[in-house]
Amino acid sequence: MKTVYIKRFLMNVIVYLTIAMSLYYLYSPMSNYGGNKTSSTVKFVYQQF
Amino acid sequence: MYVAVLVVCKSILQESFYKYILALLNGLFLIVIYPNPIHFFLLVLYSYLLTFLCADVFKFKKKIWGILFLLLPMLLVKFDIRIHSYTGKLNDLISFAGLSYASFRIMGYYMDKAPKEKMADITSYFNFLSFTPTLLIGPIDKYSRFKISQDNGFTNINPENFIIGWNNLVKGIAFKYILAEAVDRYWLSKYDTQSKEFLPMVNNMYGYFVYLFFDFAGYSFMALGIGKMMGIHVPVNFTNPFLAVNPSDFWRRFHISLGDWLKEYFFTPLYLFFTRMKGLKPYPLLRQNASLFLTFLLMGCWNGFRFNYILSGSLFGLYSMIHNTYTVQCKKKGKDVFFGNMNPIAVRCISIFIMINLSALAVYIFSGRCHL
Amino acid sequence: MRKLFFLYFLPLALSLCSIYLLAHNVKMNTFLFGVKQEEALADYFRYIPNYSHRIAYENQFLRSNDSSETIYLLGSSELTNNTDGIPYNFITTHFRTKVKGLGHAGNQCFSIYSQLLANEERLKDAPIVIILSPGWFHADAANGTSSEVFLEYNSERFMNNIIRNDSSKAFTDYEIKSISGFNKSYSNPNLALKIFKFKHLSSKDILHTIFYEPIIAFDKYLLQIKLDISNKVENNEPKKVNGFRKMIVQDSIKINWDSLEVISKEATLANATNNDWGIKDSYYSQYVNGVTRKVIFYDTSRNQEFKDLKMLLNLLKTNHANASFIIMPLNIYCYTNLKELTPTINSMQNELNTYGYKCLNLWVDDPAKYEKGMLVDVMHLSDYAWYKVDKFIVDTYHLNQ
Repeated sequence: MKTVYIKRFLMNVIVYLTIAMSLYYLYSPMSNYGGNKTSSTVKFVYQQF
Repeated sequence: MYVAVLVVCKSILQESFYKYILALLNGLFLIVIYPNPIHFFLLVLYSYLLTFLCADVFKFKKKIWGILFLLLPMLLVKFDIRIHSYTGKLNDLISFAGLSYASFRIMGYYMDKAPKEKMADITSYFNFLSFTPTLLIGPIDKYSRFKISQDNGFTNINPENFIIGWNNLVKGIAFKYILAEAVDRYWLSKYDTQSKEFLPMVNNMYGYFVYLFFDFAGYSFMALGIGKMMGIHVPVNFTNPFLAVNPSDFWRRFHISLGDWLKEYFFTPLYLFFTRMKGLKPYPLLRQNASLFLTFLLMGCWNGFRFNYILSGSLFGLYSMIHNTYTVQCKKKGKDVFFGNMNPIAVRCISIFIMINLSALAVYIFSGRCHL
Repeated sequence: MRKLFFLYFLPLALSLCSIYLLAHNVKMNTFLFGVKQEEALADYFRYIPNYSHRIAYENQFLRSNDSSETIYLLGSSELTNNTDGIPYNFITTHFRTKVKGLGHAGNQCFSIYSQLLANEERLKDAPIVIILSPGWFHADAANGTSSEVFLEYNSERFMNNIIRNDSSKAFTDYEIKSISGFNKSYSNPNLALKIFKFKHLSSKDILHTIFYEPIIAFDKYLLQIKLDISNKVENNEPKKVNGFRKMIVQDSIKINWDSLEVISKEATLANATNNDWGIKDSYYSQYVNGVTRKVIFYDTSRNQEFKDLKMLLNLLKTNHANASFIIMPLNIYCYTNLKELTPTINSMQNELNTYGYKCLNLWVDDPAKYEKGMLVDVMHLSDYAWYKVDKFIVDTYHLNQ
């Protein structure tokens, strides 16, 4: 019974660590993926004036 | 946080208080996070009063009138109706996140309510419509099922359910926030949706199908998990749709609650209606196929009256009609009219391959990422 | 319960600890997210259009030089005309006090307000010249700074300063309200923008406060980690500076302003041979060809840009900045209804007078008073006009004996 528990514990540690690392990689504040994209249509062009 | 509040309340309150605590938590979510909560509260009141009037006061024999009135807010939004005297869009006034799912639940309750059945109490009705984990995109629950869960809410909060809920929550997070995001970031976004070349179109088709599954299934698992931890059993919405062998099997695995809802509240009544029509009595296959096609057409229209949604729904309808005809023919002739005596494992593999491609095509059209 | 702890909470706690360690590890973050050191920039600049790819210059904002004071010239598209007469060239060349230009099209009042608020501790006595373009106060521009342009000038560092600074509530509230209004146009806002959005939501009522404050605190913590790591990687850690200001040194240089103005006016008009608007031939033939335009007027009560200007003035006054203003003209031959904008210009002038700020008002709506050669196109100053601005700056800040 104890071995089963330890196996499941280790399994869960691996799964949770993988999930946590993946989440950090995808959503870390350090990641600049797609950051600050604006859908603003205002374009300032010198010549427009 | 919600689970913690409920666990604390469980230790100090009686079972009968569960629904009030739940209503408080649901209300809190609506007020704090939900944009324009007043819209939702008004819809709850509107549908509750209307259900009471239609079912208990006027006692309409034909439920269609009640249904039309109950679905009026959603229909106004879907049809994007404009009023000349109002310069803005009516949609901006009555449209809000989760309207469609709330409408499904409202209609389900009205259809299920027996003529002499007592009207649901307003707290339970509010909880049924506004249960936080399922508020925005389902799964679509039935009132009777929800009520049983709610009546045993505190009892359902136990370590066993917590573990089941936790595992589902973790699975949901992995699906939605890791796999769906990775598919979107490293696969889908690499291909231009406007491209008319073969490779980008194929990648958009399969990529979107995989993305939709992980995103939607992830959300559903999270809803199921959080619901379970809060003491409410939320129905399972996805079970390996990539293993479906035919269209009906697909809808038993993909967005199950929508499939069940359409079957129960649209397909079956429609089929019975056709059965009662004298002219159609000799043609059972035609009745079945017509009901199937119209059901899926409605599913397409429900997403909005846009060509891609309608075409996608029609395609699913067409697949179901073809499969239904094939099944009837097989039964009639006592043999598989398409695969003959082929090895059942090979038949299964080919069926899965065909179904994946057909559903990916229909979902691709639904996505609006293709040229039509 | 023991099973729950051992099989679920313990692995969860271990994974959270690993995230904590990872988040603070500079090498791992550099490896994972490719944070690179910026290309080395020259220590000194005369003009930059914005801070994109020039983050190191953020530290220099509103600071004096090693040897003398620096006047900051803030404005929009007119600053991109890199001519001899433009103050960041003319004054910097001739005087020990330097002028640094910052801005390009779209750097309007709220963008400037936000940059200044982020560096509020440097504002006291800071010599700042702001060029107010009438173009900001009409048509679409009257809706205020665009979200797109805002980010070119207001990095997460600047916004983090605002979040952490002890600024007056009225100023931060205005910032929060304005930035939360931008959020609709950002598809994936950065942490600082999210914090402003949450702060706006948090201010609604006590329920919102209870809900959003922990999220804000957590996001602030994450933002600080991010900036600390970025600063370490980019060698851009804010240096402690003892005082930001130096005395303005008075030079004794003889400048013949009249002759400079006459020569530059002649030169400008010499380039205006194919039109009688007094503007550059190439601009006229390429973009104008005799086609006139109209200004689209907004009442000051509905003019967001005007509201932003009022807050900007308030911020400068509260912090005792040594500010002055230039109001630019528009080409009277191009814009046929300039008189409609005059009430707005007058309101601007009144506001400046109320706060006691000096202003060089070049606005003209009377054809009889309009000087050809002031503008090289329909709204940008010629060297002739820039020399007037130079003289105004020299006199206002007493650069010459």
